[in-house]
Amino acid sequence: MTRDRFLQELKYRIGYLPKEEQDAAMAYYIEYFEEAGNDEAVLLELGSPAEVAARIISDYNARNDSLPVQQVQPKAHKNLAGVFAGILSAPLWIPLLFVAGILVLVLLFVLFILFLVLFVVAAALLKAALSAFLISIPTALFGIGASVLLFGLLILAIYGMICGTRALIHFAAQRKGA
Amino acid sequence: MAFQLGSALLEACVLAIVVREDVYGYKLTQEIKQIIDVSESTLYPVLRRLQKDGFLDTYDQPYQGRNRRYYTITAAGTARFKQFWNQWNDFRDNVDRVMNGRDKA
Repeated sequence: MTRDRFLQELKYRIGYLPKEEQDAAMAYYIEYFEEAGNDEAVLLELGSPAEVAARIISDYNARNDSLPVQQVQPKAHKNLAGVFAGILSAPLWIPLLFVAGILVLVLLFVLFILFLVLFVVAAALLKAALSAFLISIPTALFGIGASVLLFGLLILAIYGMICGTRALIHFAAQRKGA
Repeated sequence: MAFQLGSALLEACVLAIVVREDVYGYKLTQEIKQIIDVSESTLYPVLRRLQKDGFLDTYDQPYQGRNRRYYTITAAGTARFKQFWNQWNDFRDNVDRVMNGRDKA
């Protein structure tokens, strides 16, 4: 290997370092060859360009790893915020919100139908029970009891839903405030 | 040699040379190599690190139609050298004491 090839390969191998680092290292080793005046001896002493480059790079990394230790956390936080901002501002978010809205509406509609059915069944049961009084009093009493139970469950379910929604809104508002 | 040469000791030796006089890279490495057996590829990163930490500064001086890059010590470098000097003295005294079988002072 010649001096030129050594320097060429060294330059190539430290090519990803900042320009200032590259220039400093290259200037140093060019000067070293010049001063020594004996290329063969210097080449023998330095070893392969890969080894020399590895030392330069590992020192550069060590110097620049130790500094940002305190900066890593806020940076990661910033990045996370950036990711959220990206999702929110991306066009992807609009169809997602649309789908979520539809899902909520469908859920509410299903619940409404369920309650309606419950109400109709309870009402029909009550009406049947009232007209059954003339035929069989125990049957009528059973029918009234069953319909009252259904009405009770219906009221409980609606009340529960209102409470649940209120808690959800309260929770969401608190999270937003925090 | 059986004893490991840490980077702190290497830095201390480099500062010890530069604290006396400004010196260019090749001469510095030759002087270091007279004291400790160390390869050239180990020395450049040490110089670069000392420079980046603000302990050494460089300037170029023309010599035979090209430049010689001289290393000179900064105020922080002098302070760092004094720190190294004190620590080295304590360290050496302690090792001397146990090596020579003397009691603790």
